[in-house]
Amino acid sequence: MTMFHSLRARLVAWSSALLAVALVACGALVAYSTWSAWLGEVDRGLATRMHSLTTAIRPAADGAFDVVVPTDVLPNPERDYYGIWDGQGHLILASHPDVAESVPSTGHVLRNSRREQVTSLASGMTVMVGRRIDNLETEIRRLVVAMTGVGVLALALVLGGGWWMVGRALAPIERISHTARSMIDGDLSARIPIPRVESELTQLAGVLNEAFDRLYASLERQRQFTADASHDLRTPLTILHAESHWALARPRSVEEYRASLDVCQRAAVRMQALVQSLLDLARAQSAGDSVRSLCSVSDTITAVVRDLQPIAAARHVTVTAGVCDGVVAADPISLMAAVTNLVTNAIQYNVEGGTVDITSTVADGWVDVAVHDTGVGLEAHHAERVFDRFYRVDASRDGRTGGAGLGLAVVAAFARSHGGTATATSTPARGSTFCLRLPAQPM
Amino acid sequence: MRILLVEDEADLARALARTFADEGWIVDLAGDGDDALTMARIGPHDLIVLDVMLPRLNGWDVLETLRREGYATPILLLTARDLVTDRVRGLDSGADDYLTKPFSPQELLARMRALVRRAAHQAGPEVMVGPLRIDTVARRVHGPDGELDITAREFAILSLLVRRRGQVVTRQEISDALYDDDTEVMSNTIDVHIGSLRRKLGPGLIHTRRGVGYLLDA
Repeated sequence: MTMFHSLRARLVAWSSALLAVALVACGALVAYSTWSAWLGEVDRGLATRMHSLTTAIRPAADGAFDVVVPTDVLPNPERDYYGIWDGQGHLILASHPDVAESVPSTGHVLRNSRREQVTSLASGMTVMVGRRIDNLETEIRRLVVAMTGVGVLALALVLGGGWWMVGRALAPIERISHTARSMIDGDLSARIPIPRVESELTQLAGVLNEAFDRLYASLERQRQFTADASHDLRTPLTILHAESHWALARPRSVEEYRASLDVCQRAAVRMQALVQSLLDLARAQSAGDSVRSLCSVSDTITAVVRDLQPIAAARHVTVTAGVCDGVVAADPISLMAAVTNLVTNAIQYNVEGGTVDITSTVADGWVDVAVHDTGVGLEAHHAERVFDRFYRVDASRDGRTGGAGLGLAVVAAFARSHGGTATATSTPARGSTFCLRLPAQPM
Repeated sequence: MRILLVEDEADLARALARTFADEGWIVDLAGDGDDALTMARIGPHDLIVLDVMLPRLNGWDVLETLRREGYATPILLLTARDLVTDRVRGLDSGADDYLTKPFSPQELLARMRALVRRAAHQAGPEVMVGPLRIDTVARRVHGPDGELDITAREFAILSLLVRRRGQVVTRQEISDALYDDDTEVMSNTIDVHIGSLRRKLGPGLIHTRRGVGYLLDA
């Protein structure tokens, strides 16, 4: 950023230029009016003297005349002078040798630092009174010089003071760009320091800090998600590595090989489940209009219940489903995955011999799918976070309960991308109800 | 050599324990942080392999608690997070090494051997004792007339004596390094192994301190 492109330089340059114009205009006005006032005074003096001189001229017969010049015609003999010409244009009387021979034209005239008034008389004579005003010109020049000096001083003050003040006012911008620079360099926790005095720029800094906070939080969530996902892939990979290394290190018995392959298969199943959940999540988050179609909620529930019946039977859990005629505009695969995850969750965390009750209702433009289980239930603080990605109620991440911790996150992502909500209510030791709410399509 | 393995993933713990057993090491297994603390305090172990993410008390807490108590045995951290800040935190909390999952078991074994070597102030993997050259990685002993035929148990005793060279090693310590807690050890078993080892290595290396134990000195 060169100096002439900087906001500070431009602000100061513009204000100084405006001030300079104003100062020049003011100075010119003062000089002009002073000069006019002085000239007016000189002219009044000339008029008085002209009157004195003309009344003193007594024309005589045969064109001659008689004049006794009164003293008040030359109040200041150093500067004042006069001249009288006859009808033929001959200079007949002059108070000073410098007065020209030729007849001047009538009126007021200013030349060669002299002010003169010339009048023609009825007798044909021409009378001139004048005054040297070089002293006034010197005075006015001195005034202009003095005003220029003051103007330049004022301009310098405004330039310097303005530079300083604009610099102070723009300091927050410097801090903002410094902070942004730190963030570019990787320090995402950098924030703009906010001064105590409120101004437009501190408001801007506050807004930017808030934006930085949100950005940071979302990056942090993304980082946490990646860390969790990679953790959940790394562990089964490590098991595969360690188990196969052990099995291949030397000949083993058939039973040992069988047990090893069993371990490897479990690891593979875990990785597959995680990858499937990640794909489900990605799909649920990004399900755009192009993949959406009208889906019958009851058809989806019926299909899910049919698919999960074997798992429910294995755990001796009874699943019942109540249907409604609700229709939603959704990505059918994601809808299926979301409902499957809700019901799987209800079966998995149920007690042996428990029930899972699925109800669906249409009211006020919403379709509600509620999945109620008779399982262990959740504490309130778990219920709040149970839709977070990789959130597990049991802190140990050993995957013994089978889930990767993404099932309910898929439900929440699906609800969000389809304009709905996913909520959980629970009573510990009694059971939980998970509700998926989606906008109903008019029939 | 006796290892304390702290890992809550049952499949992984089993696989690693069997891999360590193949090396002739005795493995104590802890499934959570509380057990890990209890077992480490009972000891003695030559090395702890500690997973960071554990139920109840996590690996960081176990590490910091043990180090605060003045526990000096080498600790190798296992973790599924490979952030630089985690590695720095682990090493600065008193871990001696750090391995990120997934890892190759060979690398884990090599790092474990290196840690134990360092703790015993051994210069390298090969140790010279009198006329013998002992390769602690290949677990072989070379005498003046070629390689000696030594059993896994005998090598375990020899490597313990080498690590504590010049110091008396008690029969209990030898027993701890050779057998896990579930094995009934006959009172003269250690003497039988020592006698056999003495015959193979030749005289003047393994000395008996009556009533105390044995020591290796060339």
